[in-house]
Amino acid sequence: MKKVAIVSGLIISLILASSLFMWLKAPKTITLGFYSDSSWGVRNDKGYSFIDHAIKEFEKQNPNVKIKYESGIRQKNYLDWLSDKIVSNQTPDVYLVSPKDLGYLASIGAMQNLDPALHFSKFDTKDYYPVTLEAGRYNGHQYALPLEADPTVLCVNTDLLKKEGITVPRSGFTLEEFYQICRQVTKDTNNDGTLDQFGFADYSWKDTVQAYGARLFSADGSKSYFNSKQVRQALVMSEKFYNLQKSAKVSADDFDQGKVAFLPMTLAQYRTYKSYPYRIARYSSFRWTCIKMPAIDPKVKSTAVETSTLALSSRSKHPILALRFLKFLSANKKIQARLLEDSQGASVLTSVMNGPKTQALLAQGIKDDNALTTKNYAEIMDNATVTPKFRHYSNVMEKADYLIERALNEGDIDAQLSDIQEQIQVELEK
Amino acid sequence: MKQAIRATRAYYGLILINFIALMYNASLYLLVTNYVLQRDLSTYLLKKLNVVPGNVHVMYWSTFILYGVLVMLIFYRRKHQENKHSELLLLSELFIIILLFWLTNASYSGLIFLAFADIFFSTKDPGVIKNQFYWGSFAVVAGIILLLSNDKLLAIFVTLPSLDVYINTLPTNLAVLAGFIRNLLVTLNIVAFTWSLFTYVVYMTNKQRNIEEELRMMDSANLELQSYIEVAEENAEIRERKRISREIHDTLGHALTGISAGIDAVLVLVDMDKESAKKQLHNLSEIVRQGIVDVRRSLNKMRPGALEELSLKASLQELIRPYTKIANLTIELDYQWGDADFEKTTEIVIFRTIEEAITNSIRHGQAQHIWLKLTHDETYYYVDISDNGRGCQDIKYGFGLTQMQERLATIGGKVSYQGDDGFKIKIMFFK
Repeated sequence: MKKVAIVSGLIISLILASSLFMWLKAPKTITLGFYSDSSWGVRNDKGYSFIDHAIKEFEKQNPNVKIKYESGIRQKNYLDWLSDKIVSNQTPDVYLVSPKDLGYLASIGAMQNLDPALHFSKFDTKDYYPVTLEAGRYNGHQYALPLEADPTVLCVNTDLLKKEGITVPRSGFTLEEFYQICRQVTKDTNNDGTLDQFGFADYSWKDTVQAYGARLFSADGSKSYFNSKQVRQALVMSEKFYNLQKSAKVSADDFDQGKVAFLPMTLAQYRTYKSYPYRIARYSSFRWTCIKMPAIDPKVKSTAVETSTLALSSRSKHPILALRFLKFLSANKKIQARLLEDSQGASVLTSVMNGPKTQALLAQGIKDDNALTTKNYAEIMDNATVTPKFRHYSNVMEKADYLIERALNEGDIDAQLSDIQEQIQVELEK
Repeated sequence: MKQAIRATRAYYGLILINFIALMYNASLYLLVTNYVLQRDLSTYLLKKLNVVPGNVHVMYWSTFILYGVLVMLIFYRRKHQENKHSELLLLSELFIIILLFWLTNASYSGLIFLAFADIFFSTKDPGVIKNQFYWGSFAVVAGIILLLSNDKLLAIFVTLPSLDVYINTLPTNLAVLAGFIRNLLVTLNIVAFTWSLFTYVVYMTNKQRNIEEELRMMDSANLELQSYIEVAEENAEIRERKRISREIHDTLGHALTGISAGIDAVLVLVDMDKESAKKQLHNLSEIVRQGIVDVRRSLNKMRPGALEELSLKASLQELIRPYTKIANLTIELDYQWGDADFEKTTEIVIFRTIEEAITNSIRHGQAQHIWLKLTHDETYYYVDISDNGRGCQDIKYGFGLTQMQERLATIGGKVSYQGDDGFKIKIMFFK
């Protein structure tokens, strides 16, 4: 009787041990949520080239791991697709998060707080641009690691400025200089009674607020500061800009036609349109370059940077492997270098952006002095600030945009501001 | 008995309704999730929900299985009421209920009534003070849980995937219907709970009343028995008196009559015929001797039967034996006299005294424990009789105690009494 018990106990523990061993050794599948097109609203010809390369490299290093993703998902359907996955409890282990969705996804608890794991593994974050790392933080915790950055730069029609006898400083303008140039170039060149040369297109009140370094919201999104002294000054300045070309609707198309001196543009747009064949299609008639966004003084961080991030699902079944893959995508220099090659944005690692190949990539094969240099880029990123990300940010900003545009149009922003502040605060507390 | 069955049925009804309601809520999670996925409403649902929902299939099946386990535990505990671990079982039942509550995202608050009923039905004596304390604390805890189980209030502390949000993603008419059924089940549950509680209370009250009735009947029977005992005692006394008088009449009376007649004859004869008188006196002496034999025999008849053949120790054990069958009464005998040999009279006196003392302890003192200690030293024998009865602060020397004193005096013994802590009798006599 005793022998039988011992033997059967041995057999059971052997089975348990071997099944545990099998389970540990069995190939693991990690699912990935990814969209096919660019995060930055530009054309992406390379499709899945970057991610396929990264997966191949990772699988080579971790032979026991298979990484799968669903192809054919476009960015505009991505959130719906991801929501479906979350609701049906099939959230991908690792998924791409576009900047506007981070607050929402973190607030519902779909993302794993990475702080403990990063702290435990002594993860080195020094190589990241601080602003990109900040993009993955929510409520003071690192919920995602950055994958790709896209700073806003100011594009300058150098031919137009040269014609007007203005030289373009590489290190950018102060806001006042910027305003003066805009005023100077805004004119009716063919004397037909309507303005046909403009200072700027798409330079909105939000850009002036950035230029003043003014804060619109508290970090957690509970308070708004539209009535603060800084925001008031910024918006009054914005009214001056608005009034410069109030009579004409100036758009990015006008810049394409060479009629506008300045256009804020993202790095991704710069890289896309500077490259062949878009360069030919759009901007063949004039030479242009990019500098950093103007600010009231050099200390103010006025460059908005959007960063796409990678999150670890809070329901992941293989969190350790998934996190390893996530770190591989975000912090591996070779992978990030490949990202810079294949995608339109920028790497989030300083070492990659200062690397030898980067200059050629930024110049997009053009050998002229107008190309963006690594030095320029470093300056731009030094000047970078992150956009707030709380749950209702996009809704509230839409409302604020509408109210302020209306007030600018009516020409009494100063008078309406306290009213706007109240309405925004109500919207925030909804 | 009918009431007991009715209470049990109501309780089973409550268990069934809770099962239906719980599974209904779990199914809603499952069905609405499918609906949402088909209609591409996930983003809308998540935005309203504020939290990542768990796996609804796991929720559905684990709810189903856990409820099965709960029902099995409840039935097992009711079958084996005297089980030592029944409190542990009850605790695990409550734990499962809490687990179910958490598993279904606090969507069904009616479970608290099930827990309440579970505890209530397993309390045998709801009126006992100790239980009253538990009841009080349970009522407070249950109240808090009931308050918390309102998921809107709970949402302040933790964000749970609220079933209301799920229901509201359905088309309006379906949402109204689903919400209506949900509320109906909650209401039904409360009705079933109230009904089962009511039937149980009725059953318990009736049980209580029946017990009281029986107690009253027993009380009157007791009274009758008491008076019967008195009558019987009196009868026995009368019978004994008659026997003694008959005995005296038959033996002493007989002998004395013969003796007096003989003496009269001797008085006449002594002068006339000395020889005859002498002969007569011989006869008389014979009669007297016969009388003594007769008296001794009658005395022997009156001796305690036990002492006739047995030793003192055995007799005392024999005396105690009938009492051991009485519940709530223990008599301990500590006999340290070894095989000391006493005269018959001494034995009788000791025996009778102890017998009287035990009778007193039981009858007057209502003692439940009596200690008999028979010890000795070099010069004295001691008898200590003590009990844990009511005792007697102010000892009155009635018939019993006086007789005891007198009886002991015949063997040169002394007796002392003490009545402030139980009743104690100390007897000592020379070796």
